[in-house]
Amino acid sequence: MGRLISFSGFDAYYSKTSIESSFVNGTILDTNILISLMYEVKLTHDEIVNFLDEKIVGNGISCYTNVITTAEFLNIFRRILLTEHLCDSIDEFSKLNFPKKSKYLIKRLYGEYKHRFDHEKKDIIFAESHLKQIRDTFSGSAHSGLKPWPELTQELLGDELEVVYKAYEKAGIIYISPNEDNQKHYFNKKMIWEDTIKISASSGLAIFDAMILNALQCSHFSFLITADADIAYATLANCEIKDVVVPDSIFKEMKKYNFKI
Amino acid sequence: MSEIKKKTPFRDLANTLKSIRKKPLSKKQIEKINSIIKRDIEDTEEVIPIKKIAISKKEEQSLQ
Repeated sequence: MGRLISFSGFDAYYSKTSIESSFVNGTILDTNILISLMYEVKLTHDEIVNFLDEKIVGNGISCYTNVITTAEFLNIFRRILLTEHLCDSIDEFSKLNFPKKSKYLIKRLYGEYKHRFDHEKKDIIFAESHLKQIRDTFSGSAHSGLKPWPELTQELLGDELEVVYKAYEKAGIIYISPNEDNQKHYFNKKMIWEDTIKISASSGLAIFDAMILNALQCSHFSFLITADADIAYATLANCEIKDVVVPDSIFKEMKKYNFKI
Repeated sequence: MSEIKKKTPFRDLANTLKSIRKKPLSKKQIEKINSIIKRDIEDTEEVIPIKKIAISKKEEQSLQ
């Protein structure tokens, strides 16, 4: 219990655990694993895609997500699409004719994010607060009673987010919920807030991350796949947590904390 | 002997996600968005393509 397994150590782990009588050939995917699929430039992108196709699909292991990971994945994709489409409007060749105040704000924000990207490698994805500021520049005139922003977002997101969700299902990722009667067999314990809080308190883990670990704890699955260093840390800090599989880079990063790996 | 194609659902998903991100707005979508904004917001600055300006100046001269 509570082991951290690197991608490169997965074969040895799987051959040992998959023969145990309690082993169920399935796993939960954490949000950042799904998010890593979107980025070609990220160091872990190819490592994660190859690992999932070769070691997970290759071994017939089913992939599951829960309400948190699905919501977080769709939410980040929504922010990416909005950011990229809005930033397209400030391109010198853009045919989008946005209001002046919107363009000025988008240009200023893009400059700030670009600076952070160049210096800290932080992704250019507008924060919720900045998207709201941009939304406010698209207010209709006082007498028109019209709402340009909802119509605009319908054009920018409407079809794309649906395509994303369908692609997600097509990849064989199954959404599971303990509240669905026909999915109760995936779980062996009721998910309660007290358990999430205990997991969070054991290492100061964010509640959303603790909810994902609690879903693993309450399921029949033996391991979770994540690229989140905080979840890896929480796993090592709490001997009651089930096994967590991480990219080699995260595994190496954990060595500095001197946990017994 | 034909090679059995390996299943790569996650590579396919990654490619789909990337293609959605790279997909520019269609001409129809841009026209619709511009018409929404023009209809509702008074301070819209109309972007006149440079070529169009050049042509209209020429046209103006020919009229003179």
